[in-house]
Amino acid sequence: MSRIVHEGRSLECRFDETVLEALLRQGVDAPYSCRAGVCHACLCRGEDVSALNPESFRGLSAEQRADGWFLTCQAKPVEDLHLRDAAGLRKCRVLSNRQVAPDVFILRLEGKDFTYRPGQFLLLHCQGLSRPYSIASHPAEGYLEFHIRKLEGGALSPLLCALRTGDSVDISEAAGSCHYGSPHATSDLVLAATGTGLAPLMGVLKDAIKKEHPGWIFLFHGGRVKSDLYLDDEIRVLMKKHPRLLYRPALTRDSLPGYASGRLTELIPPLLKTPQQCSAFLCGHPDFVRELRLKLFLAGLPSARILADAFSHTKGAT
Amino acid sequence: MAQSLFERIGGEAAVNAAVDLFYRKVLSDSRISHFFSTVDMDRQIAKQKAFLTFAFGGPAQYSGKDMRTGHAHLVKMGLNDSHFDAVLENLGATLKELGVPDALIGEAAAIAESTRKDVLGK
Ligand SMILES: Cc1cc2nc3c(=O)[nH]c(=O)nc-3n(C[C@H](O)[C@H](O)[C@H](O)COP(=O)(O)OP(=O)(O)OC[C@H]3O[C@@H](n4cnc5c(N)ncnc54)[C@H](O)[C@@H]3O)c2cc1C
Ligand code: HEM
Ligand code: FES
Repeated sequence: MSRIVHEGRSLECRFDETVLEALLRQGVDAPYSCRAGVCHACLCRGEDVSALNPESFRGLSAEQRADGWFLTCQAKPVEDLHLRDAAGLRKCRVLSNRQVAPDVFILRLEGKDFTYRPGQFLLLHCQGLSRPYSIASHPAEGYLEFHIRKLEGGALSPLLCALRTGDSVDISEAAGSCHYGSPHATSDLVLAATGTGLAPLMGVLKDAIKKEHPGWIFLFHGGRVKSDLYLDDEIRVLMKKHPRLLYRPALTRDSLPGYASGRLTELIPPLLKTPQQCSAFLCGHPDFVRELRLKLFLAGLPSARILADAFSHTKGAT
Repeated sequence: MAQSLFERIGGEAAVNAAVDLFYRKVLSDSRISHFFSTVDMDRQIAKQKAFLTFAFGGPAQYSGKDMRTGHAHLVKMGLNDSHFDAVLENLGATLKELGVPDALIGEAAAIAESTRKDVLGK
């Protein structure tokens, strides 16, 4: 047995019990969703996490790990563990919530003084539920923007899509390694998303533009029909202002002039002339991310320069 | 004192240079790629680094028992000598491509070879 210190309380963690199980058993209202190490809803910070089992860090970057982040649903501590107080949650007012496609809403929250890197995600908490959502805004914009796909029958996304100006939601600290940084500055950027996977890429794009990225920026957005490309017009306006930004929308269920037809996983690899010199950011459906990542790696992109956020979810999530 | 193979081959920098080349070869090798397709890429890259560090005589210490349990599920999937040989072949080709001298490649191959019985669960 080991001990977990949480907000001044010392709790017990039984042999073979996860930190999440121990917290819940002893009455702590700890956030979680999949319990399988994929959704990151249970992300938590400890003082010293170096002795935790490797599963505790599934999908986390080396930086996050160094900062003490781990997944409570995977961690089975063999030594005592001090959790950092959840400085995390803060209440944010809804500034606006705009429907931009039959199933997509753009939610803006008050976000002054909130620290994050564009492209990271955080947990949105509402009515006792929480799920990770990517931040589409840039800190310079002053507000926090999210692109929420309304999943019929989903527990949380319909609630978020129904939020109105003046309502409030709780947000966690930002996490995730899908952001623009110095290793990418010398390369061409390939930003590729399906659906609301576009959200973090808009953050990365704004940051790259702000930092005067010297190479080309290829932005690929894939959907079934044109209404899925919910930022089509805005991105075309951006493209006029930034000659090194090339926007390549693609549709799988429709063919229209100016839109490639087919899946991004097929369309992108042959277009890259010098894959060794690219950095890629891939976000959206987990199958899309996995497949494109593998193809880009085999085409010659260095593994360390392919960053990805799979919008994972698990059957039976609560 | 004589330098270890790990130092002579170039240490961690050599592992980092080799990992993408090696993993790309393994994933493109239809004899063995199916053993590697289930796990996500971040984890696989970490494991390939562990493998290379070990084969280069580096600080990662694994017991025969670790090798056995670590590959037992693959043995159930049919892992055999021919797959083991394919991995050695890809290791050799990777090091050649990086310009590592033949003598050092031989030493690395011998370290990997020493685990054959354990990896294959014999
Ligand atoms: C790092 C990260 C970032 C994310 N960022 C965003 C974002 O920016 N925008 C966004 O819209 N979502 C994002 N997601 C997904 C989001 O966290 C939720 O999983 C999603 O909104 C569904 O939540 P829900 O409560 O509505 O559905 P749930 O109640 O969790 O799911 C209901 C059922 O639908 C299934 N299901 C869930 N999602 C899908 C899907 N996409 N397609 C088909 N079936 C599904 C589940 O298996 C479940 O059985 C992100 C996920 C991760 C891991
Ligand atoms: C040549 C000798 C070999 C050595 C020294 C070796 C060493 C290793 C090491 C150190 C790990 C990482 C363990 C961990 O961190 O969990 C590993 C994992 C793995 N090895 Fe090997 N290995 C060898 C041969 C093979 C062969 C022949 C195959 C299949 C063709 C193989 C497939 C794998 C797979 C798939 C994993 C990941 C297991 C998982 O987590 O699913 N290995 N190996
Ligand atoms: S990752 Fe822990 S609950 Fe989903």
